[in-house]
Amino acid sequence: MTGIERATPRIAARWGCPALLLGVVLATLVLGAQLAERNRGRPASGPAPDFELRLFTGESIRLSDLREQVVLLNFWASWCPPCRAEAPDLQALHEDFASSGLRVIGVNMLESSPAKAKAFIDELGIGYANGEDIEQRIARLYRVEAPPESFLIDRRGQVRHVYIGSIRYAIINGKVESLLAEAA
Amino acid sequence: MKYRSPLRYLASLTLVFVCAWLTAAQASDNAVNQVAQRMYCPVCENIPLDECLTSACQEWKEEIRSQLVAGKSEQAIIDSFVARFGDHVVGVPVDPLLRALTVLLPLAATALALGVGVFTFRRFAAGKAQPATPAKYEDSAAAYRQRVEADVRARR
Amino acid sequence: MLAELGLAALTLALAGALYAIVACLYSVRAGEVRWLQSGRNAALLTCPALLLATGALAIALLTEQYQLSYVYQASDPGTPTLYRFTALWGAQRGSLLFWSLLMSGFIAGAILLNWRDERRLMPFAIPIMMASLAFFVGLSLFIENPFERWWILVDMPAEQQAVSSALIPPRAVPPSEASLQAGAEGMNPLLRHFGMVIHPPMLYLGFVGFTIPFAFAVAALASGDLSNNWLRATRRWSLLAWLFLSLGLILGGRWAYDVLGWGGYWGWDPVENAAFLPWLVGTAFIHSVMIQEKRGMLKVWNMLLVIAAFSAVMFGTFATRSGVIDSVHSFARSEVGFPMLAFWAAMTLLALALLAWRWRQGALRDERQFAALLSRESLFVLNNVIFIALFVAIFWGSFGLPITSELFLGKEVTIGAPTFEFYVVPLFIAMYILMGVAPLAAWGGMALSRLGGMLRLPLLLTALSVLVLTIIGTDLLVAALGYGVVLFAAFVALVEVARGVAARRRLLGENPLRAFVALFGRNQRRYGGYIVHLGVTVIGIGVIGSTIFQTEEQHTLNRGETVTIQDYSLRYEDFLRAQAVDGRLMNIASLVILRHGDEVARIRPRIDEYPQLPMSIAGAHSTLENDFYVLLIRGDRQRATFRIYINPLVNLVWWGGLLLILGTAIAAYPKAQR
Repeated sequence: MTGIERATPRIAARWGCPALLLGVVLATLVLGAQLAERNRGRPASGPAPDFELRLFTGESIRLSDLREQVVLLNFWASWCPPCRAEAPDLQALHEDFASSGLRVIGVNMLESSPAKAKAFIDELGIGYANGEDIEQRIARLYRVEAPPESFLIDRRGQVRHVYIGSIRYAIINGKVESLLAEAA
Repeated sequence: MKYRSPLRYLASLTLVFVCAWLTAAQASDNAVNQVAQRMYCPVCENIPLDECLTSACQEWKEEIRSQLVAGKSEQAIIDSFVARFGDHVVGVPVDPLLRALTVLLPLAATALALGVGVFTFRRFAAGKAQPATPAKYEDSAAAYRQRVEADVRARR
Repeated sequence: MLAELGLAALTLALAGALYAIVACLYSVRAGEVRWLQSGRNAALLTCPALLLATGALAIALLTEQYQLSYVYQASDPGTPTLYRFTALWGAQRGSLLFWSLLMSGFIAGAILLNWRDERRLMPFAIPIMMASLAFFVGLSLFIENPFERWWILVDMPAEQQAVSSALIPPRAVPPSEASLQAGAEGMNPLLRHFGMVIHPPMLYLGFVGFTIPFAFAVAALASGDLSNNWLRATRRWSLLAWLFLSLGLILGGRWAYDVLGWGGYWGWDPVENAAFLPWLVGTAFIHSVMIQEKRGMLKVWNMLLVIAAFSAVMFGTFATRSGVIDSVHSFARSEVGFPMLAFWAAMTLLALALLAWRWRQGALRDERQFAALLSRESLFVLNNVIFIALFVAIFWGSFGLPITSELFLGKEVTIGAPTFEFYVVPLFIAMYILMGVAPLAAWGGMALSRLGGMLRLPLLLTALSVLVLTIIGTDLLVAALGYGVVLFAAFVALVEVARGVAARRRLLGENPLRAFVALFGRNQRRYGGYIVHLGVTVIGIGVIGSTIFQTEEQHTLNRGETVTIQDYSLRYEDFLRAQAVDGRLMNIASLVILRHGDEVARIRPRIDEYPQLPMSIAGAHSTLENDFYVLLIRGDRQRATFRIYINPLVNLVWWGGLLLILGTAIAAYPKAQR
């Protein structure tokens, strides 16, 4: 047996186990850190994650195309009673502020069938844009746990406020007005 | 106008019953649970759908029921949910890569652990031939006696 | 006042811990024992300091001081007194403080009881223990402070006025008592159960308990005293930690069975698994450590296991407390993730680096070699292979795969019970078989024929019971074989105890009872171990019965209607709605259970409506043979839907658990010093 042939397994035997253990620890560390970073919580400030939403009406909208408008992003489901409660207020916001640059976008999540979502929209006479969040991609981007949750995004695409649970016109309209008053 | 043929009345009644029976037979709570057992709650993670009481789950179970009534198979229903909500609605991933990872890695790990064990034995059995203490076959009855005798000595 | 007291005590504990680290390490350098004594005293001080802090929080909870945001979060005016107290560990911040208290208690015990014998290890063991403690106390002080209070900043606009802060902000006034009481969030309804009163403390005791063996192992590596001293110092501590962890797991199962309402006790949920993982490594350790004690082998491996047990505890804590893994019982998302991960990595790497250093030095060389393939030590190694395989598989399923998938494939996955059962069942079968064979094998090696001879009687008994089971109607062959595998281990344990008793009678002429007691007294670990094995067998029988033979049906009944399932009948008697003292609305169904036509019990399954979520509380009629377990799904006075489970032998899981605890207690009970 030559020296080299003997040396290779010896190096493996000497360093294999420590290297393996170190590798496992480091891999776990990196994965854990990435995950902890992702799960820190809802993006309560900073740039709003971009997404594309296919609306029930057929066309698609992309958040980054809505720069210079204030966006109220609302996650909802037809089975959730607070969503039903807040829908008229959202509709009123849409009616009052659409002309000054507010876009209300409804993201329908965890719905058992699209038909139910459409029935909800028709029943409550909702006029703002709505679409289904396929595979919960958008909800995951925004770390939504359960509907309803809403995010208010300013004209520069920054998340400014997060609302967990149902929102009320009287509580949010002042906020919307002040964001609309800001320059893009 | 008020007159109704008893036969027609009976027929419609039968029809109602048959329909009720059919839907009941095809989508009893047990049948729904059968499917729901294989799925997981969409909002509260890691709770099987059949055990979950939230309104989201009730809604999903109703959807399962209506798909069952429409004659879809158990697998087709689950596939339709996976297509819309992703792999996390089921307890075993559907995606082939994920499925392979689910199954293969633990098997590989077990094989590796066993391999290391076997390697250890072989190294000890063959490599360093001379054991530090010669193997002695312990007579178990004698071992008991020794132990008990040691106890007796200790008591004195 | 309580908040200030708590803060001061917490700060004192942190200072004490940090001082202890410095003083003990300096004592090594200076070679002066008084520094070590000073460090020890500081380390011992942390326990009363944390007791004071925890006491302050407990009093604040009991006296409803809602200005403390923790009290505001974890209780409300409707919370009953008992749960007001258990709110101490009902949410993240309180439970972190409570965790620190338990850890300091364990540490104080370890320092006091091992001070005389293990002086050489102390200069390193104390700093390791104190570093762990300081980390958790630091989390409580700087990130998750349970003593934060609500303040109203009078200068700010209305919506930014309320802040929660540990220190009093400038120009701040306390909020009004009425607004605090009205806003208090109240306890998570899932935690309002008697099981929650003692399940978390037991589990935490198990978790923090592994700090002690870890600290002594690392101390052995650091000091170079690699004799069996560290094992002697930690053997009972690791058994104790294992005992509490087992108890915590069993109580957790019971809580899930009673409260989570799915007719089962183990759901392979990541948080359950996070507690199960250290248990698996711990089990591997308490077996393989015997090889080191008796034969001086596997020193590196045992070190690795101790490190892995502590590491698993810390990783599990990270995963469940940082919100990385969502689950029924994980805590809300929190900022503790990064610090915990960093702490986990630092401790693990430090320990591994020390181990690698000593290993390279050759200080951990085995004193003996494996002599024979068939020996107690080789079977114990096989036991370790099984437990490690279980560990890897369960770790991968609960953390590895979901994390990898989310990060690299952008997909969220749920790994559910079927996946875990797929790889866990064969490994458990192997474990039970080994549990039967290994105790019979002799140290050093033995002939196969001799082992065969010793196995004859237990095998015969096993075959007989499988035969009896098939005849009396276990129609599933799989189940009968499963019972056989599990029973085999029990028969081995029983036969061994009987032989021990017989040997004593023959040689000493003792009466059976005396011989039995003496047998346990003389060799606690061995015979305590047999009781643990018996307990595991009884649990196994319960698990097989309640999973393979579980019956589950859903029925909608009109009032007065009866449904029959197997030899039980269920009559829907009445339905009522009531409001409990804490404000929740209860929907209660009243049912009569008949067996063979005779009324055996009345049960009242109910749904409690909390603002956060509805909860289904099962009604059960429990016998040793089975549980008739009913959940109310929905209903009114006319009709109600029930989910009905018959869980055969499920009670054996709890009884087996008790046996396991008893056996561990016997094995760990300190011998009188002679």
